[in-house]
Amino acid sequence: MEEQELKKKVQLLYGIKPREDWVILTRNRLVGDEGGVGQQSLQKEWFWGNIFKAGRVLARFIERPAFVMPALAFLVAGGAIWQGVTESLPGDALYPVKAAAEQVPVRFSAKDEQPMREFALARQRLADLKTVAEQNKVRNLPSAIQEFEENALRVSAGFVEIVENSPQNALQASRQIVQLQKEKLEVEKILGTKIGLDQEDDIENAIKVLVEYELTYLETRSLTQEQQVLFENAGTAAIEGKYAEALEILWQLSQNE
Amino acid sequence: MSEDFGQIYDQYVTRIYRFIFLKVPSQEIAEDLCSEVFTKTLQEYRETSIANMQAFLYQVARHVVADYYRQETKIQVVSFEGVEETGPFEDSFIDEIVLRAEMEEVRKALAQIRDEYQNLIIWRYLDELSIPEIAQIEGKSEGSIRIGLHRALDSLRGKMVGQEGVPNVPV
Repeated sequence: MEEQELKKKVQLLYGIKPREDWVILTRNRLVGDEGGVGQQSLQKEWFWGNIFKAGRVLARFIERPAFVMPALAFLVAGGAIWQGVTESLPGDALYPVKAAAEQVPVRFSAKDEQPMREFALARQRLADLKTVAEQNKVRNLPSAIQEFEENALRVSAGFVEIVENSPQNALQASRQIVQLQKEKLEVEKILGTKIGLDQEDDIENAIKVLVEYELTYLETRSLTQEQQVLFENAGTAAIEGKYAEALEILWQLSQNE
Repeated sequence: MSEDFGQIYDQYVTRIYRFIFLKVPSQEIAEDLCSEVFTKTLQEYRETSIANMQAFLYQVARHVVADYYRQETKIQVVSFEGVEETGPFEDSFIDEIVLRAEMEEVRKALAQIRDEYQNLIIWRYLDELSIPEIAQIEGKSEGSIRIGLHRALDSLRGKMVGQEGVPNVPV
């Protein structure tokens, strides 16, 4: 076999390439946070700039009777666009509108309500991510992961703050966290990779603090026999380091009061 | 900084993946090890300055593959099932089968030669690195790389000739 022929044969191996979705996912895990934010904010900037321009044009047209019908048609089209907005997923052109609209109730709610609203948003982002993964929308995947991770970071920061400042109110919030983590595990199974690792340690520590706080508090309380069993089970789980499980039991105990 | 690393990742991910894929039993393992290479490199990139990124990545890839085999003593034959191919291979089904068979033939032959020869062939003829670049990765003189390449090609030729006559096309 001639050397040139041999080299040509070796070059057939150029055909070996990694899966595109794996490449994007891995890139996102390594550098997605900073790069992705830039991309998202550019996308938002572009969208709102165009909306503003369109609004100015519409305002000029609607002043004249001849343009009433086109203006109405525009409004009907607007309805269709809104439909598209509500069904959009992270990475879609219309998604920034949906994200901005969802932020309104969070921004204008009372401070103590905000964490619960953030939980709801994080769960929504997780549902988006699940849809993206199930429908294999590779292009949307980095944005969907990034959106979820950003929400999850806000949720974990809010949760840590509640635990540190008012642990007596944290049990309800912790339930949401545990639920969110369960749902996240399901999505991770579909994706075949871990997501939102940055905040896991914070959440675990906060749950640990909360469980210890609750156990200490319950020691000072008189408990029914059933509650006492739950209390002991929670204590055992905590000793074994299974804080999420301990939290679930403490939640059951609180419901028995 | 992450943005810069993103560019590095984009530039090298296919080459590093291919380098690893040719040495391990499955696509999944290649993906895991390739992720590990870039994770380790990112850590190093954040902490120190890497003078030669290409050489560094290949060195990490070699260590990662070596670590993998230290843990896994059993070496299996790689299958091309599930490998994504692009480019001129999509002309027709028959062409693709023939091409896959040829790829398999080369890959099997490559898998049978010494690891250092594999590396030299991958770097020179697939990744198209220059002799000085390979010398830098290997930490050897350019002369010894040239000799090594010559021997590597001879070795590969020997294995490929040995395979001739064996039907490769899947039925």
